[in-house]
Amino acid sequence: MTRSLPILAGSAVLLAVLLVAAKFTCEHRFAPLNSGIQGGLAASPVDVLFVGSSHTRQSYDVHALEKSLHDSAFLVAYNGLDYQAMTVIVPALIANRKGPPKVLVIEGYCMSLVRTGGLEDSRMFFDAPPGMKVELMRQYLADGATWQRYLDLFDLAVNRDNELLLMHPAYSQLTAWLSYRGGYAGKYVPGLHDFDGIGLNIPLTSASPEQEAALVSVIKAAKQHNVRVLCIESPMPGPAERQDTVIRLKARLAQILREQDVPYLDGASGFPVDDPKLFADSNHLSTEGRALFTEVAARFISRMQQPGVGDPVVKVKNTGISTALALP
Amino acid sequence: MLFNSLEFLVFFLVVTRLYFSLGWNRRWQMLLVASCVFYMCFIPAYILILLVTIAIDYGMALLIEQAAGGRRRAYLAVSIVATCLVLFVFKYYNFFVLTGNGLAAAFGRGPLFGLAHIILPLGLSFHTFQSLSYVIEVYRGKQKAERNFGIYSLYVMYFPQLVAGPIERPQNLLHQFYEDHRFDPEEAIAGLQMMAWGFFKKMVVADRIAPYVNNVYGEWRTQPGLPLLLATLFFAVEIYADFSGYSSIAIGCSRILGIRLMQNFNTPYFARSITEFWQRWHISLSTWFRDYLYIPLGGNRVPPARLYVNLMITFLISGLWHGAKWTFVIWGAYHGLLLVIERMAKSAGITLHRSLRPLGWLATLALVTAGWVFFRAESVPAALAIFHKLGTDIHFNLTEIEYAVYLMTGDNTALPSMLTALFFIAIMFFFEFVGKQDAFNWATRFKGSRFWQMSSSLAAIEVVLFFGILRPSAFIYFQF
Repeated sequence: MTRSLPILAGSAVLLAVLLVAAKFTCEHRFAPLNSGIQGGLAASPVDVLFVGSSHTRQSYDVHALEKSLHDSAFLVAYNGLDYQAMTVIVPALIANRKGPPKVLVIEGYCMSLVRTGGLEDSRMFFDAPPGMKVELMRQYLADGATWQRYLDLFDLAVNRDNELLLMHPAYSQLTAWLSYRGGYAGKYVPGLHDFDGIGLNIPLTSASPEQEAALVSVIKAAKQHNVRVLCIESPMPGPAERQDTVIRLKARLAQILREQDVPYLDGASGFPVDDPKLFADSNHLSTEGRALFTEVAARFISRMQQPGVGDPVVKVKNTGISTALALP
Repeated sequence: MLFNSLEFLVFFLVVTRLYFSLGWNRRWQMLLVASCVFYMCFIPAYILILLVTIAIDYGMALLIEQAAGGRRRAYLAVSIVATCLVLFVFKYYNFFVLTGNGLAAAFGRGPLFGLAHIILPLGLSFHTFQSLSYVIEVYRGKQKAERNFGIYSLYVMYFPQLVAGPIERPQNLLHQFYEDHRFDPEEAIAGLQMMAWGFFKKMVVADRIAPYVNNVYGEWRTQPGLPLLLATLFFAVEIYADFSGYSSIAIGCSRILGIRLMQNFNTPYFARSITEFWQRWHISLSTWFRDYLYIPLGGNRVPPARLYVNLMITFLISGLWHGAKWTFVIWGAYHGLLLVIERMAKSAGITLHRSLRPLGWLATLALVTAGWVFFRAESVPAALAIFHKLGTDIHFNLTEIEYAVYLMTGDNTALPSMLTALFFIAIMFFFEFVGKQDAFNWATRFKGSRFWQMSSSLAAIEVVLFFGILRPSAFIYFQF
């Protein structure tokens, strides 16, 4: 019996190591195939590929978009996905063996410019194949290799999202019901009654150089594969759109995109941003807002694909730059 | 330093290693130092409060033992008043001030007293009651006054049960600090199993459902009935898993050190009456109130009307012990009333037929769960409003169900998270029911039980690692 304790401890460690290794190398095989990275890879080649955060997921009705564009579309969206994380997942999505998309629509959420890097949505890690996982971890530590960050990565590699594995049959069935090519299917998101307390909590007032460099890197990676790159920023409620920092960040984003020769749609332009029922919270659209904005985005994408049509003038609301598109 | 933190794991490994490397007569000193370090990890200065109460009760117990007649009673009174005064100042002062000021305002008068800005010392109610049980037992002559101040300090401060019990009796604990505990691998494995099971209950079950309960109860005004119902059911599970999880870890780590602590839970949610529930829930506190309040008030050997009054007094004070809020007082009164009704029914010869006993279990579970609304709600009006919503605002349509599930994580992982929570809740209750609170009991029934014991321990450790919420969160009962 005196040997039982060391045997128990040793077995526990060994089994844990084996299980972590199995999770690390295989969990992406259990990822849903109609959303996220694995969905994006499975759907390839796709005509229009959207990459972004929860904004992207909540801003487009993919079915309506495909109907308007007469093209296939797919959304790869993770909560809080910023430009730094895009540098890891976008190259994998456009360089897959089935061929790159015709058009890559990068989410132009100006708040991504002030993010300090991180892995807000653990599902991105879950969905990523091992090589991409390593890259995400390396990137996370590059922002500061603190003890807390190592603990976060331990948590991510060992413990996070195991319920998706345990409940895989139910989860895969659920995502099959509730998702359509990365977007919501049949999910109703109610609108607000008013804008009381609506506003954005912005951590920094100037754009992060790392995020700016990452955005440029994503654009260059796509262009190397002859992918047409567009940038669309979904509208936010009027009180958020009128915040000084938002206006400044949008101007900065517009400037970077102009330098990279990337057409940019500021979704707030001409959009009824002061109608609460079009918004679900301080920065996401409701189902009604989504339907309306999908039309706007489809017109923009379609116009940008027509031969001979030049890039529209970048429009940034409240900065005096002229408009690119208006609502029908 | 929380039990469910990496710091505690390291602390406990170091303490255990040192403990068994020292001679038995030095071990209690090491445990005392470790207990001081453990307590001072929270608010270091508060150890002084603890030392004051320890010094008073230590001295008074010696005086009680030497004195006779009225003097004994006087020393006992001094000890009880001094110990309770600390409890009153730190825990109840603001409660009584707010109540007094509220009454004054009702009569058109301004505030009578100002509020004190005090942080409640950790586990104050627990170690206060443990100290009181010592002086009362010395007064009753059932326990000799402890001469060794260090040993007595360790009795109050013993780190596994310092902040949330079990509230020990001197007869059970004190003598164990004098015993020579050799490292016993059998005991160590049993202790590890208890700890693993405690971590499972806390980290895999309680911490998984706690965000749901907190979100819904935090926003109770805007929540419809279905999420409130689900959150109430979840809270019933959470408080059990959280508190009994703490107790299992405490008992388990103490057992590794060779010191046995009393059982604090015995499958309370399988009780078939409220009386039975209180014999199985927080046993160390229920028996404390029974021995030091209910029986001295006359216990069962009084006329029925007086017995009912005694029950109500005991449970009102038990409610107040839990927290300085009217919600806790009402929760205590509610349980007292249920017990009075049960006693009345028993006196009238009304008992459930054997075939209807499952109904008794269901009724007990429903009544206990309803009582948790008072325990969890932020105020009495909030609790009443929640009851109103539970009665009038529950709709089982797809939109409401989808919304209720969505609150689990706020994204499309909500359903797997909720199913996982339900799965582990079922596992917890199944093993505790089969094992009669000892979840690993079943493993000893098989041939080659060593293999099963090791395998089950291994499974528990891996489940905690892979499915537990690894970010440490405080235990609910720490606030008491």
